[in-house]
Amino acid sequence: MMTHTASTQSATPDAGKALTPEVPGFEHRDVKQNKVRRTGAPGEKPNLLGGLGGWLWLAVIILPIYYILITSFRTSEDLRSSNQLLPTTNPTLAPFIKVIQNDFFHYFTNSLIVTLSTVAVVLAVSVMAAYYIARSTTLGGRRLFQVILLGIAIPVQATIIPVYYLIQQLGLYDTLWALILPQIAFAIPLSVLIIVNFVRDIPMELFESMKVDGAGEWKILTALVLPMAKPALMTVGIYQALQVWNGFLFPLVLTQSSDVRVLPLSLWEYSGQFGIDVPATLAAVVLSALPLLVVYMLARRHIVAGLTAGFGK
Amino acid sequence: MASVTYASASRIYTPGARPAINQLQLEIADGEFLVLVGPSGCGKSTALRMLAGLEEVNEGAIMIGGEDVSHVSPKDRDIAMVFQNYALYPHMSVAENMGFALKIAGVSKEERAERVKKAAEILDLVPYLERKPKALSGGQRQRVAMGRAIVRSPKVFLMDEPLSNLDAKLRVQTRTQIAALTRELQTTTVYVTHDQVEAMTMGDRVCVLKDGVLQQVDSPRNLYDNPANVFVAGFIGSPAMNLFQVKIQGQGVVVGQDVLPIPDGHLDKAHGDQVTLGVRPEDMELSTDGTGLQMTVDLVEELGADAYIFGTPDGIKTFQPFIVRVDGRRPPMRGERVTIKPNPNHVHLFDVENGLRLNGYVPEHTPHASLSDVEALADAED
Repeated sequence: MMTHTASTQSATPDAGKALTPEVPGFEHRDVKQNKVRRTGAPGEKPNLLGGLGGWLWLAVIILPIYYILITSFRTSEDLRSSNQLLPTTNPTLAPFIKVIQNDFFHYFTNSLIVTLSTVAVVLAVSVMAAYYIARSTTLGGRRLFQVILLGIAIPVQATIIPVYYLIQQLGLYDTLWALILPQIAFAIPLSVLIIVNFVRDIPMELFESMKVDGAGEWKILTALVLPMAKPALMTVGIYQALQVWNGFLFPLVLTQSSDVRVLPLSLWEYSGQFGIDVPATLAAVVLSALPLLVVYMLARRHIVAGLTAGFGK
Repeated sequence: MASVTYASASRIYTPGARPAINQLQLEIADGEFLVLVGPSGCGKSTALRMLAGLEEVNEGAIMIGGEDVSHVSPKDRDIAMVFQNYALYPHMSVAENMGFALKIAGVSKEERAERVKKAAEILDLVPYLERKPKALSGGQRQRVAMGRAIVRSPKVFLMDEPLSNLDAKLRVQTRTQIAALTRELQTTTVYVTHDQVEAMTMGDRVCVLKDGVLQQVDSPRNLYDNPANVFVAGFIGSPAMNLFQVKIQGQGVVVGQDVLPIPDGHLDKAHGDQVTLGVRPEDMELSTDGTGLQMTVDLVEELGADAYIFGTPDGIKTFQPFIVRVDGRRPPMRGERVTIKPNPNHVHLFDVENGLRLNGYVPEHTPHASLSDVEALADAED
């Protein structure tokens, strides 16, 4: 009797924590942990080395961001004449105005279309594939997973030439499709990997209970897998959106005209024959990073571990 | 509401190996409460899951209400199941959990709310309807799991050790509630447990399984009084029946210095010159006339009203200590010498070779068993 109680409870509350994507800048924390900071037990020696490393890392990350921010409020002349590491005494919005007047919103819309459609398809396909793979007991399911995982090992750069020919043959060169379709393909393997691991952590009995309750596969997908895998979907969604939004190689190779230009490519416009307009470039960087920052901050609250709490005893 | 029939149903995981469920032949009447009981790994949960449609039926058939459902998907069987760990949907409130099956069945929102409320009233869950399962105690979660089942009014309730996660006191309480509830609803119930007290107290009939084979199915009383083979004798009853081998002498068996007479020619069917004698602890008594078995008391367990004394009688070989129930007010002391003897009206005799009961009705097809099966049972409990 004793053995029964122990085994059932341990599996559930940690389900969410299984997902710890190794993505810099992503934190995957429990809400409760936010309140109670882990400062170590009283009397325990503080981890000086760790703290030092943390601050060092923060400095390395924060310095460029600081530089980008202060520089985007200068004029080019100001940049040349004053200390570059201190905020300017005459801040100006001129670089931002220049960027916005330079078709910024057109490029922004292109980026938005490409990112949203890529992420939407990736999530839809990946969650369905993950459900099949996680619940499949057949050899076919395992093989499928192996083949999909193989995709992680293939670097995008290595395939860019074939992809280019493929897109051209399909007559999609210099369209937004040329950006959306390949990026979907390259985003699927990692997304499936993360979501599969999450779906596997959903207790078996919940699937069985759904079946007994009369749910078919689609109903189980929408009523159980989707809500339970929400943290994984959020993480995957944000990560892939980041990749696509900041992606440079595909737009560079597969598009040409300014009609279908996306934001990262538009940064090029500020480097002319006789030099770079640094403040304008950096203002464009700030403007293109803002939406992601907003999305991340909103979605972060949903990335809460331990969604399975309460399923069992 | 419906009857359930296992018609020689088998579950074979690996062809050639021992089936998890071997030719299970079992009829459960409409509205009956049947308990499947047996030691760990006996296949009781598998049998239940076959009925739920969560395990394949490899041979034979399973019928619900006379309809063959062997290859029908779980969602089309109209059954409700209570899982051992309840399997509540963590992202849904109590009301949503209970109403989920109805929602899928296309029941209107108003009717759903009404039926959920009615079930919640029965189970004292009304104040918790809007809570998520994680905000409930273990006992409340268990009731939600029950509520999820009863709200549907299914043909059959399936319960897979639903009480094993509750603490002892709550378990006893809930046991009574479940038994009363299912009888009130008059829904056929198949209940799996490894706890034979649950089996005895709840079931209309109890089905004992071992290694995927049905040993005996009968009312708790008959199971206790007339175990069909030596395995059932050793398994049913707590503390367990004392089982030991004795020599046949004429129309009786030798117990210590005396011959215990066995009337009605029960010994005629015995193979060999020995039989297995089974005596329940309460059917052993302290002898006052000096006849019987001499035993040194190794241990005394006082339970208040009763006390159990443990020891090994001289000249008797048993795999576990003898247990004798004595008056709780005047138990012998540890180390004391006592004389015990079986009540001749309440002894059980089993054949040494096939383990079948000799002095009483043995249903056809009762499988053979041996004393070593019971020994294995005692080992598993340690």
